[in-house]
Amino acid sequence: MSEVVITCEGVGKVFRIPRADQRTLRGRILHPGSGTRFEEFRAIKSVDVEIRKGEFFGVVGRNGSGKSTLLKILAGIYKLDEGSIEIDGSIAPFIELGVGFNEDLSARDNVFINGAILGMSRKQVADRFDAIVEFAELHQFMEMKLRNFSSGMLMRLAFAIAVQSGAEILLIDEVLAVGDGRFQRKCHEVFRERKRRGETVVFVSHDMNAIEAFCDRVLLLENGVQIALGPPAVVVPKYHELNRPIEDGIDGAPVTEGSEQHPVVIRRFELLDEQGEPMEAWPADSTLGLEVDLDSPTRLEQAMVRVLVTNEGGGLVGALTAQLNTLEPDAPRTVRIDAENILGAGTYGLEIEVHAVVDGRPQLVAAPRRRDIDVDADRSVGVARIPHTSTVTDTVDHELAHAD
Amino acid sequence: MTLLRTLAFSEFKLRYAHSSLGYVWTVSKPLMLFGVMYVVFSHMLRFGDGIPNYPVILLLGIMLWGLFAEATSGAVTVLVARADLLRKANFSRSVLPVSVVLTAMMVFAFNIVALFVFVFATGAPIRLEWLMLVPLLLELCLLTIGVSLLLSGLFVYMRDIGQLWAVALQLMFYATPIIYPLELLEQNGVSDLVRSLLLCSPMAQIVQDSRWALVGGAAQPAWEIQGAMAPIPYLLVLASVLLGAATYRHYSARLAEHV
Repeated sequence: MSEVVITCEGVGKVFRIPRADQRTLRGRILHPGSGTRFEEFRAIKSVDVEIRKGEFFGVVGRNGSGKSTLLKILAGIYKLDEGSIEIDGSIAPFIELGVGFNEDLSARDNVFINGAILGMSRKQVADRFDAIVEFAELHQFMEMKLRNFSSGMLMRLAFAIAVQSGAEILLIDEVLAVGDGRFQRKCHEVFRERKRRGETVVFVSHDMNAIEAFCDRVLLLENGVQIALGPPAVVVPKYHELNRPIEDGIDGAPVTEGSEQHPVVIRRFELLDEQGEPMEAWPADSTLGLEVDLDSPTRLEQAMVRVLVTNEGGGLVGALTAQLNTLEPDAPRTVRIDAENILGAGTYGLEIEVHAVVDGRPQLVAAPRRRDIDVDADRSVGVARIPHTSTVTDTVDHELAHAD
Repeated sequence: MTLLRTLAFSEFKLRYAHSSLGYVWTVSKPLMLFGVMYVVFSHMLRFGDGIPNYPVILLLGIMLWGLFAEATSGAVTVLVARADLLRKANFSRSVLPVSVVLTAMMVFAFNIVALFVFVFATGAPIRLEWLMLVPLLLELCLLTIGVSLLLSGLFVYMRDIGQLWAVALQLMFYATPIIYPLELLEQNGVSDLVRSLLLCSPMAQIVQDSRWALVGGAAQPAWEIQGAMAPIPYLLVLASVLLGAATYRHYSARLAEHV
């Protein structure tokens, strides 16, 4: 086992939030001596981890669970309040890519600005400039203002600089979602290379696919408390567990009355086969009929029924939707969705949601309900049986064909 | 150091990036202000009567004041304006206000050239005392950095500082002998004590001494007028630098949490 580069012992962080707005003179004068009244918010509580050299270490958790705070403490952006952190080796002083990018300046200028913020000297940036441009594949765009860059180009440039920053321990907060497939592969390549050189990455993400693809170990935080630490195969399912919506009305138990938050009542939610009989298992290539009865006490605009299909790990496989447009009070509606089965074998969750536009923004207007269904399919791998054809012929020699 | 330089240069570049005249504005702005003030105070109010080189003095004062006012008022809000940087990267926090001062110094460098062109055009003689401008400018930079550090740090915790400083700058502008030469006060019977007190402000002392160094004439350096009070402006400069540094020592570790 390789050496430990980051040791966190009992790490905690307390934010002191001024109770009233005491950042004005008026506040200070009207309430003399009250300058020390704060509300305390513990963003992180006693985190103990050791991160080893060459490790790709993931940090996951729901919004507000303390992931970014932990990263900021490691980067030295936030002051450590409790416990101790020992870091062996140079750690990146930044947690996001492209910090300080200015869209009114050229890509070239921005490389120097971002490089300086990442702690590189002017000479270092100049020396690595070609490598950065090369990696980002933006040769002909370096004199262009960043304003005109696409988000993918921006991310490529930012990632290229970060990789060249020379830090032995990189801290990355939610980034790898952008860029095309080709660039993503390049990133994978970089991470493998870093690993070979014994360089470490601490990585925060909501993207469980990325976590599973890269990470050796994962830390799961919930309300600032460390609740799991281990390989992705163990921790990722726990993360999904936390993300399950509160499932009232599960297994078809009817909800008879709407609440203030969820006025719409789902009176019936049935899965029917082609003969109209209730369905427990969904045979390959058969059609599933999904019927829902809705009742709304108020008028709702732009209503929509959406059924999220999730796999056993909680990962989203796809969604089925039906537009209802306006829902009128006391006019129950029945929605039927017919779906072809192209899923691979396994148990899937069907989670029904009803959305409508309330106060100008789309909101959930019914308590979500969920049904599980088994899919039995022979010789299937993964979540989908992709419809496809195949042909086999003799190979044509292209070189000979061109020589003619 | 790299970060400081890079931020200051890019800010300087950005400021004029969208205007068709570009860097010409660095010099045009004080010259235009000078034009207005010259007409008002020299021709209409007759402040400059009997004062040799009044236009040169006025332009010098406007430029020195411009550096101080532009840098400090920009520095007040810089930490909050660049909060994104503070929250996402770890670097020496004082770089931000100091880079604002550095940008203002770049503008000032252009101005100095324009000033000397003006000095030669008016036919003022070359003087050995010009060398005195170097330590005076150094003093101005120290003062500006000190005040900028102090204000930017305090602003994060007391947002009123922004408004207060705008008013304070106005007051200080009129308390500094820029549009009126100090002799004018003397002619109007203002006592030596009041003039000495005015010169306790480092800006007043710097403007007065720079004027003396640049064109001489009837101008007395501040220390001759102030006598025993002469060390006060220098002590205030030192105090501003120490207070500015102390502010950062005290606040910098937690700035990212509070901006």
